[in-house]
Amino acid sequence: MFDFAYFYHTAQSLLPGLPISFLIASFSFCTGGLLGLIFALIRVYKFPFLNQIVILYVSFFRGTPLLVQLFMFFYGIPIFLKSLNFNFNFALIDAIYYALVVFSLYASAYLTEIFRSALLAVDKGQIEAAYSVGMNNFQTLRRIILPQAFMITLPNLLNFFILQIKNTALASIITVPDLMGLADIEAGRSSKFLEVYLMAAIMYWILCMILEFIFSKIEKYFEKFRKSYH
Amino acid sequence: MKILIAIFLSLSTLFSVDLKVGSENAYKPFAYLDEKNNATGYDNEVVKIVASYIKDAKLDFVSVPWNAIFSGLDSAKFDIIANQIVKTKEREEKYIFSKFPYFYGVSTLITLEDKNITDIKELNNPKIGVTVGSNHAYLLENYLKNNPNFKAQIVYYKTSPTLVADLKNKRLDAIVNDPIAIVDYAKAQNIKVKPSAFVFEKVPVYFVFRKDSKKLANLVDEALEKAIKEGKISELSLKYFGVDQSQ
Repeated sequence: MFDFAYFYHTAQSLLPGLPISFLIASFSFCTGGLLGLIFALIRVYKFPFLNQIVILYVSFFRGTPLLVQLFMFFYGIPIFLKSLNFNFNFALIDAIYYALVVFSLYASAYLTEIFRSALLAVDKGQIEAAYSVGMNNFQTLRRIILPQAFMITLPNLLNFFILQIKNTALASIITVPDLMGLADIEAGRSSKFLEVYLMAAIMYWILCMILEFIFSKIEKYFEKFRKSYH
Repeated sequence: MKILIAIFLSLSTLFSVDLKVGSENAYKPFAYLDEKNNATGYDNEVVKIVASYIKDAKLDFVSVPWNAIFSGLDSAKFDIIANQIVKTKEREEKYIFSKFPYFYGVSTLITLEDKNITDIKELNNPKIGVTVGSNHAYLLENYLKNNPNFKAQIVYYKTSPTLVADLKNKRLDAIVNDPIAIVDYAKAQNIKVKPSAFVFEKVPVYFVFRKDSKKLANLVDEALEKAIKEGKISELSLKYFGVDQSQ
């Protein structure tokens, strides 16, 4: 039978995991966004050499499961470096930092593509118009292209953030005590899987609903600016 | 002459002891079949040692799936089970257990080989790894609850091989697990680990007989006692696991 008393009780034990999940998602979103923007510009302006590297990088991080990347970085690389007699105490780096790095790399690959498509979607005529009034490349980028690209990409960006929240459930595989990690520990103790995981699901759900609400407000706010372009 | 030999042979089978042993034979390293399909593994080898102490014992191994192991015993397909069986109340009511255990399933503190730990409290504020949801995790949690002054951090892993890897990576100071499983994983990863003398739990493992096999049970008990006294079982445990888990 469904144990309601236990179900409410699990909320307490799972709650400390929520900020960790949120931290991983938001940190990786910010750093991944910054990297992604740089990479997208490299792609759009076809910087020699760097362009090829970014293509390879994005292909790798989009073409392999996040789970595999986590395993590779957390377990594989320290063992590999040790075998090369690289003497470093990996215990000094907490698992959460691996999660932050790997999630950021993963996010940067996806955000590169999101930004790139947005940059390419800006009307060519606008760019030519900017050149015709005497703006240089950088001015055109800053004043004309980026603001419009931002408007185009905003829904995609926020969507990716919500996806990334759910991706954080994988961090527990490298011992990070995020929401999913705490749920596994709790379920292991009690074997009451339905109660524990339902509570975890509800917590993810509530977090995503709050974010969706905030994001819809942000989108509405920026909608004003979008209209002025037409 | 031929008739005489035939009579002699049939007489000898009449007086010999039939030891029909049921085991899963798919449970390495306790009971499994080797390349030539002979029953081997720790539990089966213990039976072979015990049989060597019984005069005219005739050994016969029967492979049986785990879920049919007790019904196989009930229906007399074999007369002894040797398959890491532990005591439960229900089983004790229905079957005879051997007088002595031949093995202990344990939950111990395990460190890297260079450490010499005899008590968990010799570790200072350690990180201890366990597999999530395991009995080992439960035992460690309980221990820390009962010893609130001892500060330790539990790290939960999903699989055992990663536990061993992180012991080597020094992300963990110790792990709590069954040393047999861990020594095996460590060997595969070329890592040297050391099961400490600090034991959280020790569960004895017995032979099991039907209630009507009292005579056979007594015979096996006597043989097992001799084998234990002569150190044969300890020797076997050392050979199989590198640690003596027979006592």
